[in-house]
Amino acid sequence: MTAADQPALAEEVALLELVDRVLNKGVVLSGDITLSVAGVDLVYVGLRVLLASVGTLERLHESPRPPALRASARS
Amino acid sequence: VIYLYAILAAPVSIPSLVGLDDAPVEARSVAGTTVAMTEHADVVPALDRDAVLRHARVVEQLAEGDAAVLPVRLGVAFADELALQRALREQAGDLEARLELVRGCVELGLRVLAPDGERERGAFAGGAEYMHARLREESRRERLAGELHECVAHVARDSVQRASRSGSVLLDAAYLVPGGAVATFREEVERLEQSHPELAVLCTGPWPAYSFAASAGGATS
Repeated sequence: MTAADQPALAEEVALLELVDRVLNKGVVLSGDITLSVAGVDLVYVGLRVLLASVGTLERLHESPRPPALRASARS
Repeated sequence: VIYLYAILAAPVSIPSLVGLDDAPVEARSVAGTTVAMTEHADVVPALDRDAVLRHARVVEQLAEGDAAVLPVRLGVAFADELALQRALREQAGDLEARLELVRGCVELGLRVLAPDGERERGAFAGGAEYMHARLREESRRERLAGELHECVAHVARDSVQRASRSGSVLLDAAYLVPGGAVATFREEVERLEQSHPELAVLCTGPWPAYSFAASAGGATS
C-alpha cells in the first residue's frame, strides 16, 4: 500500500510537502523585508508526524508491531 | 511593497494570475532580471495558510509554462523597486546559472522510511559491545541510503539530500528531473519499492524546483 492508495492521506502529504518547500526552499534575497509567517507553524510541524504515520499505516498491514514505530517516530 | 513569487528567464509574458491579497501578478524586468511579483499599496500581505497556498499556486502556474522558473521562498518582499534592484544585483550571476540548471526540469521528492524494529536491540555485555552494534547499524543504514539514492540519481540532473537522517528516515532527498524523464524516475522508484518491501517509500511531485533555487552556500539550511 502506498500513500497514493489513500486519496485523503495523499492529499495531506502533498500539502505538507508543499508547505515544507514554500517555507524552507526557494530563492532568498538579502536586504529584503522579512515578512513573518503566522498560523503556518502547526501545519509544518505536522509534517514529521504525518510522514511517520504513512510508514505506520504501511507497517500496520505488514507487521503486528506498529506501536514501537509510531512512538519512536513521534519522539 | 513589492512581493516576489519567482525569478523568470528572460522577459516573458505570463498568464493572468492572482497573487496574495487578490493582487494581479506581473512580470517585471528589474536590473536585468525578470521577476514575477505583486505590488501592494501600503499594507504588507499577511502570511497565513491562504498566503502559502496562493504563493505556491502562482509559482506552480508559472512553472507550467515553457520558461525556466526559480521559485522564491514565501515572505520575500521589498519596500520599493530600488531595494529590489540592489538585492537582485548581488545575486544576478547566481540566479542566471540556477535558471539554466532548472530549465526544462521538475523537482521530485523522495523519502524512505525504515522501521526501527530492525535495529539491533537486546542485552549487550557492555558499553563497548553496544557501541559496536550501533556503529554497525549506522553504517548499514548509511550504505542502504546510498544504494537507494543511486537507484534514482542517474535519472536526475541534480539532487540535494537533507543532512539530518534520523529516526526512521533513511533518505530524504529532492531530485531535479528533466520533464521527459519523470516516468522513468517513477519506474525506478517502483522497482525500489518492490526490491525493498520492508521500507516505506514516499515519492512526491512534480514540484517547481524549490530545492534547487538557492545556491548551496546561500540561505537554504
